Amino acid sequence: MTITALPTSPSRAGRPSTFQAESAAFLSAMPLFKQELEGDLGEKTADFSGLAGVLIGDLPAFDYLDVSFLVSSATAITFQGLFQPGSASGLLTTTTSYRVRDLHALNTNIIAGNPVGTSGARTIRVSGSNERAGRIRICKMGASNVYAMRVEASWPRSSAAFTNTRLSGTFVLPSRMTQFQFHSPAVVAPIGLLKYRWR
Amino acid sequence: MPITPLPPVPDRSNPGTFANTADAFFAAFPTLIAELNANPSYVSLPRVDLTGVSAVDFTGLPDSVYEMAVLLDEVLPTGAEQLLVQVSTSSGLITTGYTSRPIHVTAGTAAATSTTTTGANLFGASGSKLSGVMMLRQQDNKCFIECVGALIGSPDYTVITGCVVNIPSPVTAIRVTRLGASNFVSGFASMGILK
Repeated sequence: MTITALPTSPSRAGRPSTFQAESAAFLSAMPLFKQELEGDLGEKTADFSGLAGVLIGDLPAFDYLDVSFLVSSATAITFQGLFQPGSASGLLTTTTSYRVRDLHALNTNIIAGNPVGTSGARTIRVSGSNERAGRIRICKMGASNVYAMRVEASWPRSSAAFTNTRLSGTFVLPSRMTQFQFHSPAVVAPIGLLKYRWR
Repeated sequence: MPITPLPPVPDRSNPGTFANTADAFFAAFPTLIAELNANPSYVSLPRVDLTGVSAVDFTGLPDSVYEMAVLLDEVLPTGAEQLLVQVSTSSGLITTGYTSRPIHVTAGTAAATSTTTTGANLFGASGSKLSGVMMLRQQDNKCFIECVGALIGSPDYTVITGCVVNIPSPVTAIRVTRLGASNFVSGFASMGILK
């Protein structure tokens, strides 16, 4: 994102009569400058261990969002990794809002190309595995509030098989994306970690 | 382009130089912001309407590109024509030599394959709209392209392709076009570039 130009730099030697006013204006612009810098370079983590998921509600304005996740358990669980983006109007929960399809594979055989769930994009689908890891990438399409998304995920230590998911498509928000939820309703992740970075 | 270091931080324990040091420090900020804006770590190109056109070119790609993403939103080619992505270098548009192998899948069945060599292509299906992200990376005079997309219609498909093409020099532009003779019916394309 473009960083807003700061007000005129104060100069005590060059413009002593306006120095105080220029200094005040310059310093008052610093919070926005910091916010925009963070918006261009930010990275945060979230720990949702022992929870059904996590709601991230403090996203700055971004063009690119990269979310990495890990869900791990000593025993097989049915955590399904539902990803729901949202705006100031709330999370996107209607099927028709997602122009997304996924594909998951069991060992080397592609077993389905399926629609997403009823209320979000399912990043990981198969239940009963011990560990899942993946990456979700969100790209804003120009000045619109249409976002392209792409997911690669796997659960390499499944008791049943080695499987993976690919998912891609777009979704539309009424205004800019400010939040997202990653969860599996009613299923707790003994270990759940998420890192997200934006540009 | 590297960011110019800021001048020395003003220090009130040196009152004789404080005012001039402070002036120089604050005066450096416009340059800092100009350099930051000239070197974004991610570049988002405008979203382009494909309706009624045969191709759109995304030009002026920055140097030192790490990864490029072609973003597709409800792209509808005519009939069952396919989407095609081609790369340009300083030597011109490359229209041959792509080893593309797309398939589309529904309910566990790989519906079709292709051996198109004129670009990285994704299957269409009559009346189905394609949305998804196509990723491109370049290394060792090759451009690697792969895509997973959603082809939504009746039935729905998940489409996937992998492709490599030799490039004589870094990619300078990306063309989104179609494998066929007709213009796009509708849809949008955009690009994101990670440096």
